[in-house]
Amino acid sequence: MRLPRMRALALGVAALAVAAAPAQDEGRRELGELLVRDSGGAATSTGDERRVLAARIHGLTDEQRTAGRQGEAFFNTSFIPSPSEAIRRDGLGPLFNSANCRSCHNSLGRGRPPTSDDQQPVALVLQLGAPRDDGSWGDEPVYGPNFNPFAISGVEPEGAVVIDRSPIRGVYLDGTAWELQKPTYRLTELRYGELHPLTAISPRLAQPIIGMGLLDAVPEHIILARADPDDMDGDGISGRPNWIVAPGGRLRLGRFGWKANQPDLRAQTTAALFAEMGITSSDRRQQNCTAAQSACLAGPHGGDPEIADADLADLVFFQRVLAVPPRRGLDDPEVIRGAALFREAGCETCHVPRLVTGEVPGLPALSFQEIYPFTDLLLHDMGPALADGRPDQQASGSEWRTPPLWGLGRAGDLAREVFYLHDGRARSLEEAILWHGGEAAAARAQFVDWDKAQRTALVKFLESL
Amino acid sequence: MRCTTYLGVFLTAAASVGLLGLAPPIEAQEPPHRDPATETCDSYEQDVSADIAVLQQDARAVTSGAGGGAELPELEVARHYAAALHPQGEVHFTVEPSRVMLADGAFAGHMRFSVPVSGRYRIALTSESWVDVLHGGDYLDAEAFAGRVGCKPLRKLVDYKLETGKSYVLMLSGGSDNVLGVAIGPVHER
Repeated sequence: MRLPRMRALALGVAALAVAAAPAQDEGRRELGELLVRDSGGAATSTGDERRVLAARIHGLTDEQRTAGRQGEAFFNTSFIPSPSEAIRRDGLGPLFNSANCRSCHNSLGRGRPPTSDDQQPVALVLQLGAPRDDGSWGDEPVYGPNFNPFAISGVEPEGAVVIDRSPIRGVYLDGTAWELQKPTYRLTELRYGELHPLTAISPRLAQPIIGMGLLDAVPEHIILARADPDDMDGDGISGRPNWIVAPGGRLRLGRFGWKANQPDLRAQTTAALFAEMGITSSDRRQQNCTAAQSACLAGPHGGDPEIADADLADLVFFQRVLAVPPRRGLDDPEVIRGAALFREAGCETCHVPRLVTGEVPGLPALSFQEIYPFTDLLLHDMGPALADGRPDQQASGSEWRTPPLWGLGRAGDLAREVFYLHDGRARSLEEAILWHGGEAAAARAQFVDWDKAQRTALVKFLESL
Repeated sequence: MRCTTYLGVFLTAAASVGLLGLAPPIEAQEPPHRDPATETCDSYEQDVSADIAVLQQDARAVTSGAGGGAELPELEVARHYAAALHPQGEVHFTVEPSRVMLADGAFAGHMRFSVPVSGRYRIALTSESWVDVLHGGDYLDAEAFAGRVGCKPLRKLVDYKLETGKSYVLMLSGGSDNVLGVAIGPVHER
C-alpha cells in the first residue's frame, strides 16, 4: 500500500526521532558522571532560581539556620575602623583590601579584577613573597603577605597597583583568530620603602564560595588517592598535594585557595580576615603590619581578637552550609556533545567530576554525598604563561590547584562581565581554556584543533555546570 | 587609582560595603573601589540632574516607621526629605531586607509612597543604605542602581518600574547615618 507523501514523511521523521532518542540516552549513559544534575548531592539547592546561589542546604535546625543568618550578616556587612560603638564589627585595617567579604565574593560569585586605570584591585589580591636567606620563601619583609592599597585614616596605604595588559594573538586550526590579554603587575607609590629585590607577586581573584562545606568534607584519603606526584602512570598529569605546616608543626593537606594553601574553611576565612581586612581572630591574633609599618602597629584596634569566636563560627558556618546550584541544560544535545569532547580532551583527568564526602556531624546533607565539583583539589603545573613565580608552601611558582567548575554556568547570571582564572585575565571560558599550559597543554592543543562547532559545544558543556 | 587623602581612601573602601544598590532577580553587583576624586556626579552614567536638583532643595523632616504596625510617613514625588532612621536593632521589618546585614551600628526605617503616573522612578539617597521597595509584602526588582562616593548630594540611586494606584513601602536598612536625604522622582533618560 502506498502511503500519502506527507503521512510517509511524518512517519519517517517520527521513526528517526525514536531512533535518535535512545542514541542520545545511550550517549548520556556513557558520559555518566559528566552529566549529573545535582552537583552537590543532597546539598544541591532547590526552589527559587533567583536565590539559587544563596540557598542553604536542607535539613538545618532552627539553631543552625539562625547561625547561618548571623554568618551571612557578617559576610555582607562592612567592618569599620575603631573606635566605634559598633563593637562587633570594628577593627578594620589599619591596612586592608576590602571592608567586607561580599565586596570580593561578588554576590557569592567570583570576584572581578579592575577593568580601568582609575580602579584599585579589591577582589583581586596581590600576594607577595620573597626568598629568605635560607632559600625558603616567606612573606615580603616590608609589605607582608599581600599588598594593601587601602588604609584607615591616619595610616598610609601601602601604595597603588598598576596593571599593564599586552595582547597575545593566535589562530585556531580552522583559521579563526583569537586574542588574549596578558596582565603584568606593578606596585607604585610605595609608602614604606623598597620591596625586596626578588619579590614575586601572586595575583589571586576571589573565588565563588558555593559548595565549600562539601569540599571541606572530602576525606584526605580520597584526594590523596588521585595524587601522582611523579607521574608514575605516564599520562603527563602529576597531581601533587600541598602539605601545609599547621600551628604546632603538624602537616595538613591544603585544599582551599588558588594554590591549595589553606587546609580548611576556617583557616581560609581567618586568613582572608587577617590579610585582606585587617581583622584579627583567635586563630590569628597579630595585626597584619610589618615591623616597617609603625603607624599600622600603633593604629587603633578593635579588641583582641577583633572578631569574636562566636561570630567567626557563624561566618564559617554560613559558608559551610551554602548549597550548590543544580546543573542546567543537560538535555541539550550540544551540552552532551560538549561533555564527550571534555572527556576526549582529557579535561576530567584534573577536573575530576566526582568526589565523595565523609561524615559532617550535625549536617546530614553534607555527609556521605556523591558530589560533582570537577576538581581533584591537587596541584598541577600549568606552564609558564600562568606561572606567578612565587612558591606557596609546597606549591611551585607554576603550580595551581585545579579549581572546582561547579557553578561556572551561573557566573553570567550574576554579572554583566565575568572573569576567569586566578587573576581574572580570561574574559571568557574560551580564553580560560587557551591560557591552559603545562600539564594541560595537550588538552589545550585539542581545543585549538577543533572546529568552531566543537569549541562551542565544549563551552556549552561548561556553561551547564 | 591615586588616593590623595586617608579619608578618601576609607570612603573609597566604604563603597564596597554592599550598600550601593539592588538589582534583583540577580543580586546587586559591588562596584570596584574607585578614586573619590574621579567619582564626581558627572561620572554617573545616568542623567541625574533632576535628582540632584531635588536633593539640593530644603529638606522636609520625616521620621521613618520602625515597623510593628506603626504608621508610616507618606513621601511625595519630587520632594527632598530628611528621613530620620532608627537603630536597626530596634526596627521590626515588614519583610526582612533582601540583603541580610548586621544591626550593629546600622540604621533602618520604613516610609510609604505612591506615584502619580506609571513609569520608571528613582530612589535617590544622600548617604549609604540598602534599599528595598515593597508592594504587597514582596520585593520589587530594581531596574538599575549606581553610587558615587564623591558625588554630593547624590550618593546612591536605585530605579524601579512603578504603577500608579499602588502603595509602595520604601525600606531602608544597613544605613551608615541616622538621618539621610531621600528623594523619589521620575527617571529622565539621557
